[in-house]
Amino acid sequence: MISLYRIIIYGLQGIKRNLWVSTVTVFALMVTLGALTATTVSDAALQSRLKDLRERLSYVIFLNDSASEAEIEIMRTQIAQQPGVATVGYVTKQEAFEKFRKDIGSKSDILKEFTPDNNPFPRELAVRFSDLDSVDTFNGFVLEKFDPLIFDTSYTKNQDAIGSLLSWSRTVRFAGWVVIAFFSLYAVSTLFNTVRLAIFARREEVDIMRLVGATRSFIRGPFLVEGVILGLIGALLTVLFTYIILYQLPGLLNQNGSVDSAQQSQFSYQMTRVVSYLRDGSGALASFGQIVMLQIGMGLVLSVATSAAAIKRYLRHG
Amino acid sequence: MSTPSPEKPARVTTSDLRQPVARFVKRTSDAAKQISTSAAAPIKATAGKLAAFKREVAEDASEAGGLRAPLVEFKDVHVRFRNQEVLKGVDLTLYRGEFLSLVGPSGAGKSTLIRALTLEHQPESGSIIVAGRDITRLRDWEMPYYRRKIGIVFQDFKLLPNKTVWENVAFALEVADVPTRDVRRRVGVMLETVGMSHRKENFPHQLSGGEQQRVAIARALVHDPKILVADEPTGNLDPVNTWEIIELLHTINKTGTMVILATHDREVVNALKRRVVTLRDGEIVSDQEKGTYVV
Repeated sequence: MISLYRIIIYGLQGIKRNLWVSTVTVFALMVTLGALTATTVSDAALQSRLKDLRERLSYVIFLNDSASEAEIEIMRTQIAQQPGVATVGYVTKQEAFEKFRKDIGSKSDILKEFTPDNNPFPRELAVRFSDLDSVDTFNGFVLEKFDPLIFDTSYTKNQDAIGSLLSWSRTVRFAGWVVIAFFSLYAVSTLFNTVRLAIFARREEVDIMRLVGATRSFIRGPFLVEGVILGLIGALLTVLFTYIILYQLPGLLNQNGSVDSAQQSQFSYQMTRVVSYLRDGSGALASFGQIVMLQIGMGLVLSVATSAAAIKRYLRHG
Repeated sequence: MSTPSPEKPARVTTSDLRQPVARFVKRTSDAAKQISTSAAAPIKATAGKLAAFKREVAEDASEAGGLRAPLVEFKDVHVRFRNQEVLKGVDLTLYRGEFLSLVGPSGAGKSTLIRALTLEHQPESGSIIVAGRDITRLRDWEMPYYRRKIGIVFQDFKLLPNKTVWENVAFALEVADVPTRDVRRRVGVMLETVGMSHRKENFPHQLSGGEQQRVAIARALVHDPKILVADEPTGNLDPVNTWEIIELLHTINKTGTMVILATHDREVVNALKRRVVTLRDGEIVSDQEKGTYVV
């Protein structure tokens, strides 16, 4: 118990009396955590954007006016059961007309040509997919099974768009992981080197402790205590910076006219998107709370693990 | 070739050392006379404090008087370092309360012998018996406990740079789980003994070489070891500080602690008139009871 108390005191003294080295270590930790957070959040934001795009891309079935409501209902039920289908929405003739009117704008004279009795817009079944890979199979199924009911589909029109989105999202996801892996590796190795140098500078201290009769755990202890404290400080500072960048900076930029307005609005827009995505809780990182937990956890693990690994080599022999 | 600058400080020569050596010899030649003379008053005071300190902390203070009992035995010790045999079968017995000077030219194996005793170098073969136990067979986890039984003083002091004088001395007790109250008491007495109480809040870099070595000696002695090992303790010191440190070691020895002094310093060895072991090329070439520096 008395040893633990002394180890903690030594750890605190170590930070205070090696202030410069401690500051550099905290900075390296902040860069590491910042890089890891930035890549993770960017990837999360990108995935959310992709999800958004996928959702917007729908497969619309335009129905013949001759198809009965009962037939359409059966079709709708069967379609909804197909693999990869997320939702199936039904648009009536009236709704289709309203949509057209909204798209074209109220000023246009063309609207006068249409009345509820003279409504050429077909009814629609709007299908959204959870998995775009199944669109091809789905198209085959629909045409084979319900051809008499179908006036047209949007598949032909959207085929290229679906294909390119599909390959683009695969590429982006892969690139995202590569970037995360690269940044993580770079940041962790930089942190490890910084801590190793800090302990290398104090290797004589370790030697002296050994010669005076300190046990390995007594020598290692204060370095680990330093690791825990510096890890916490680094993580909390990173949390603070993350909070400022995500939540405060967009607001500040909007108030401040010094930044080019186009850039500023673009940045604010992106930040707002990320924040709202985080708030929605729809991504891998459900909330800012999770980012905080992740950063503190990573800060502690990284700091203590690198300290332990760095000091190990000086404690190999009695 | 430029001529030496007139501002350059004069080199210390043997003749410069004559006076301090003479003073030291005078002090050590006759213990009784020394204690009674006023010139030796500081030593007397220090010796008194140290003896009191040892009485206070020693489990068995009578051990200090048990001379001629073997305490350390090197038996056919071979040490290899960087593919070179540095010690070639050393046999040496050291006794309780002894003051042994280990002399020899650079590379003779003095430091290696000391490092074998402090377990910084593991012998290739042979055994080192300390208080009846072969320390070459100690396990890794036992080494710290063994090191707490000996005191080590180095040429480069090896003080912890980020700890104050007080903390450096206290560290030797704190690693051994000594209660805080005892640490305070013993460190206080020890710093007073080596005359460093007034610098206890200073960091090593704020001290002179002599002061740093006093702190190192305090740290080496604060846990009352039976053996004090000093590897060239005066190597980095000026003549005045050298004699102060030697006086301190001599005083320590008088209280019963065995002192092993590895040194290059001929004047010191000759002035001490104690046992001298001479090493050359990793072998003992002479062992004199009241020897002189003959290399």
